[in-house]
Amino acid sequence: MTAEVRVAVVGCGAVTEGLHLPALAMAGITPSVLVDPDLARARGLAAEYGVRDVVADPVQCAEYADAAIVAVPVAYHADVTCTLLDSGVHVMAEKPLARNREECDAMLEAARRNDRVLAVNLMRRFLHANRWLHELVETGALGAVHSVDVSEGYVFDWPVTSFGFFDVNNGGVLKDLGSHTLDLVHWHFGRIEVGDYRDNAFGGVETDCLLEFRTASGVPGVLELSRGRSTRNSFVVSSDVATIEMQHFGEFIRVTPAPGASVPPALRHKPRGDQMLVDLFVASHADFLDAVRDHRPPFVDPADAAAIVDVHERCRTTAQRWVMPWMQAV
Amino acid sequence: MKILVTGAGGCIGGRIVETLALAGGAEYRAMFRDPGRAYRVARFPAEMVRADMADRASVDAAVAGCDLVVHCAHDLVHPERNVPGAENLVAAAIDHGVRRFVYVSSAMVQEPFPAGRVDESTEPGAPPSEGLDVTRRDAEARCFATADGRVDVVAIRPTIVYGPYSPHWTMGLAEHLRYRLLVVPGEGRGTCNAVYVDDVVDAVLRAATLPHVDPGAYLVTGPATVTWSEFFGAFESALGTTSVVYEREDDVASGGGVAVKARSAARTGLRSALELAKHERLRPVRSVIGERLGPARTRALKHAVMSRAPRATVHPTERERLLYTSDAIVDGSRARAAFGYEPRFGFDRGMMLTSAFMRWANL
Repeated sequence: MTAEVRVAVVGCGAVTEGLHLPALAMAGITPSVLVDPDLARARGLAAEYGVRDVVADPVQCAEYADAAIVAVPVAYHADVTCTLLDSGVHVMAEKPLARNREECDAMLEAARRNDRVLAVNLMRRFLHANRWLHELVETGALGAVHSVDVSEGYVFDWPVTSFGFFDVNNGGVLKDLGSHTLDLVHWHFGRIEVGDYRDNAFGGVETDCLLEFRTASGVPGVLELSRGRSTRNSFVVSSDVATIEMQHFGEFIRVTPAPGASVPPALRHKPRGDQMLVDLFVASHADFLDAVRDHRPPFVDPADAAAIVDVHERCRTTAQRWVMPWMQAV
Repeated sequence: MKILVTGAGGCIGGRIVETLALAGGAEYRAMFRDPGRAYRVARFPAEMVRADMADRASVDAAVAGCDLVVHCAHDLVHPERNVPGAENLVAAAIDHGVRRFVYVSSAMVQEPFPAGRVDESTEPGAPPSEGLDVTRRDAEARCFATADGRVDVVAIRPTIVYGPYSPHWTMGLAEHLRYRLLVVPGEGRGTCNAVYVDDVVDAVLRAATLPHVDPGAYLVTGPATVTWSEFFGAFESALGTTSVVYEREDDVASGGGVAVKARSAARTGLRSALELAKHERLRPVRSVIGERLGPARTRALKHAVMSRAPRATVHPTERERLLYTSDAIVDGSRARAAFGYEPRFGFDRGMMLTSAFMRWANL
């Protein structure tokens, strides 16, 4: 159903090589063009995936494509996205949407002005487990939520091709992993009010951060992120009905009834936990291309992604230094 | 004054960059072969350069504009790269007028230690049949030979480096102690010349930056020795595990003593059961267990089970056997006299910080 939409992939870094191109291939979609200033790299990937054309400049995209997946460094998201939208190309941007509110607003306005789709690759919303949890919250089956506790951390092993990934414009672990986890909190529980925030950046980008927040309804939450160590790696929601703890890709979900409460039927039917990361990219691409074809909004409202950029900004401006215990010796 | 630090993604190189960044005042450039290893150093506004020490052109670009080179990079996966890499760096340092070249070597270059006091003039004994990374010794020798008086070369030879991010004597050791049985000969009474990573960093930076330091090699060790049983015991205590089996030397030489055999036998049955549990057809059962327990408790269960059984028994290599049974005490007085090196971290304080790191890192 989506084959008629010609798709460009803009930016040929690690996420394109490792996930976007494999996911498109899994869906039977061959991009019409790859775009990257490093034409040799673009040609290499084009040869691997049977893509006919490669170009260096996103401006040339409109000749080849109706829609573009933008996977360039965050510092270029706004410029590239607005250029594409203004040339009539629908865009799905990687997360985070942009560096700041001004850039987000410019992107949203460009989409509105040109009547084009602007999607954001917050693909964890396509995870069965997250949709299940969202429905429990939306329908009230979970009852009154008391707390949210999110922990995600891995020793960094992303196959980056340059130091650009660690540029302050791209941000550290808060903008990287945190874009996903904060999006889920925002999606489930509404606007996030930033409380105490600390990270271990000393003029560069943090590997670890700790955020205390409140949801729109005042529920307290905590978010711990790391790209330097393995952490608990789960999303925990406690309510007056039950505590749900789930791993970030839904592998395990544990429902513990609140004292004296029985588990409602809706909580007993847990979703399958068999989706791989690339499956979520497939789902995210499909939603974007269906939105283009059906002329409807994408599943992830880009305004939500802009709200997460606001959270990043508030954290950045209020950040306290988190000194690791062993570093005090210096 | 600008310092190039190679191996900046590693334990000592990374800590040197952290120290330079936090102390301020010195310009520095951090060199990485793999940009992905830069996540720790990228917390600072560090100048980062991608270079492969085996590639002379990229090394030239990395060295250009630097006054000092601190060479920490050491490839454990492809050790054959270490000697030509050191030669490339020294040659580039000469070509670019670098004032001093500090090679972060290892006291391993003097192993196996003879009995008693060991200083820089001590000749090693007959090399062990396995376990000794000879590229350390060869790379150090190549540094001096290539320099040939055209750039001052100072080799720092740290002893047993433990502390945050130490790959062998902290992170690797923690993994061994968490999941395996570690056989230590000599009943753990041998001498461990442990040195906390920050002391090594102090020594390296002093050797690099003081106005005058005589070229040559310097042993760098901690303020006092401990026994190997004290060393391993401190890690066991920090991790809450009992994983070291102390053997008499003749037990180890004969393939394991009574204690090892008894513990191994007791665990054999459970090991077999857990190997069976990994079978794909039991995946639904594992999923049910995981769902009932949740991720945090599943992890705790895994740790609990793994700490009781099916742990492989790790026997010492020949190099380790010699190290664990040695009573050699490394003398760091030459470094003290040459550049005022004074270790600041006694073993208790070093382990307190190391324990904090291990808790943070969930080791």
